[in-house]
Amino acid sequence: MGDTHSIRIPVHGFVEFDDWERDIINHPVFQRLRRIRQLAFSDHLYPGSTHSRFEHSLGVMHIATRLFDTIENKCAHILEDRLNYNQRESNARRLVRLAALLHDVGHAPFSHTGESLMPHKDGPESKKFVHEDYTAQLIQHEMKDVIDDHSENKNSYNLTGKDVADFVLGKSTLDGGRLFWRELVVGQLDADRMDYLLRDAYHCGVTYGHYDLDRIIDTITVVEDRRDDFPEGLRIGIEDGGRHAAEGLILARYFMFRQVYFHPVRKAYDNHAYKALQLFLNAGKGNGLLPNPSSKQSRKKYLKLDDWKVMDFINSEKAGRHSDAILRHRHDRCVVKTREVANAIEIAQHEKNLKRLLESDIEATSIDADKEWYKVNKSEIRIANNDSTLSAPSQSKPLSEVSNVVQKIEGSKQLLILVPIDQVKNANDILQKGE
Amino acid sequence: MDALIRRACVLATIAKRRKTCKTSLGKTALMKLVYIAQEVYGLDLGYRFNLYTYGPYDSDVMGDIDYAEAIDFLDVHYNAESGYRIIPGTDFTPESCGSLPKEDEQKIEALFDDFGTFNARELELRATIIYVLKDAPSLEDKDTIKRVQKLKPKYDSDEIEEALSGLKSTSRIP
Repeated sequence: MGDTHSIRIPVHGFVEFDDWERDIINHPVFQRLRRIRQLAFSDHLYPGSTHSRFEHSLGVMHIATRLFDTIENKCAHILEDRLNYNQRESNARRLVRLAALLHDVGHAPFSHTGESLMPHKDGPESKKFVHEDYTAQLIQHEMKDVIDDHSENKNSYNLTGKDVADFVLGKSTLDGGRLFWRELVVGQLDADRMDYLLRDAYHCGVTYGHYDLDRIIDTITVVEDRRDDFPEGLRIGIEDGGRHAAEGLILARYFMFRQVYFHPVRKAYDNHAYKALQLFLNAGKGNGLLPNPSSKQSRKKYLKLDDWKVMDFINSEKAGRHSDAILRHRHDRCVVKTREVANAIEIAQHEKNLKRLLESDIEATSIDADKEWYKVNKSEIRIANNDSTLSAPSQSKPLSEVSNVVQKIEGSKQLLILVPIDQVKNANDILQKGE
Repeated sequence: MDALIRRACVLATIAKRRKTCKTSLGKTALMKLVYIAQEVYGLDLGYRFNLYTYGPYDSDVMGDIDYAEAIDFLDVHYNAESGYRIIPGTDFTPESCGSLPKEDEQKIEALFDDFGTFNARELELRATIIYVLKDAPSLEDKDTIKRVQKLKPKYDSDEIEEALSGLKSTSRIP
């Protein structure tokens, strides 16, 4: 196992790891995350939010491990019985830790903002790559030396980069056991969300993202999930005693969405970052898109891109009015917005407003909550009906059916129109005339 | 048509069409029908499904169900015994949402011709097989069956084989 090391990060304090994980953390692919900010230019709104994907990734590994250990200790017999889980022989804990640690290594500059500039997979009609595709490729190829070929792995675990990548992507090569554990990294009750809400709230200096993490970890369990007309199987859920902590998690998501992730100032800076990155990628022989993750050569180019590199471009005023907005805090302003959950009539009115502004040569941008990576929904967290026994999991219900508060959450469909600061007056005049 | 309104209309159209099949529709069945509509019938709604213990899933479909419920395009009922039951909502009318593109309606019709009467359990199995076929198209049938069973031990190999051969008999499955 080797020595234990630790790094102290906000929210969790000391995060521990061993020699193998230290070599992974020190790998340039992982170190790059120090130069990718978690929330791009949100510091223009909340000056403290300059934190990086690096500390978030350590936080996700820490929470995922706590969740894993609680479930394993509490439900060992059920796991043995239903998933053929063998605590001694299994490498599931290690797989969960590595997937949690590495889940974000494929992020583009400015995190999710840059994701819109990823190329199509197979021609213009096909789906676009997402950061998980980059993550999977980087884990399998560029990190092979510290995963597949690492002596600690060879001696004790025999995991491959492909195992970790398949786990992150949800590939069909997984078995029922790995699919079950995958929920801790990518699911309704995942460590990713649990970490970023607390971390983003901490760095923004807001309390909206706070919820009772310790209670969630204390009450996490396995439940039976009965849906529709058949008992579906084993799921990760929360004991009834943790129901309010789970409500807190969902409400934290809602408040953080409203106060941070979809705040009009943050959205304005996301748009400036997106446009600046596009101009950066267009410069020289570029095509305005990020390099494709499928080839070694273009992954090498991709790894050279980070916030610092693009910031250099912005600092040299090469991103036109977007450099100006970022360097002088002259961001676009929101001139009109719909209600939080717009209906078809409001959406039609929004489109009309946008058209009118564009036809009057106003550089208007439409921002749609529906296109956000951070979203609000009721979530499908399962709450146990009663305590599971040693050998049988409890039946469960969805949180939204036992919580009136969660039941009222309606999703998010708000639309904003942003315009450059020196066009605000004109834009307001045009909108007023149209009423 | 706005992309979210289109997706809400698709969900409500599926709920409406399912009602005529006299088979109940819950969240699992709706998720799997949307998956098959997108991945097999080319009804591109922009969802990104991947595999969970409960089969192909995208939490954005759940968010869209919440939205469709909020604007009364869907009615979602829950009963502890039978689970979810989803039916079209009172505001799902051509006046309120405009008409769904004809092409979308045709794809939903074709989906129902082949999959409309399967229950949630049957749809989950078929959606998982389709996921495996798309993820590993070069597998032979016996290996596809093994892989599905490894993912979903609750289905026996005879049931998987029967579902696979049923899927292959429709010309749309590779």
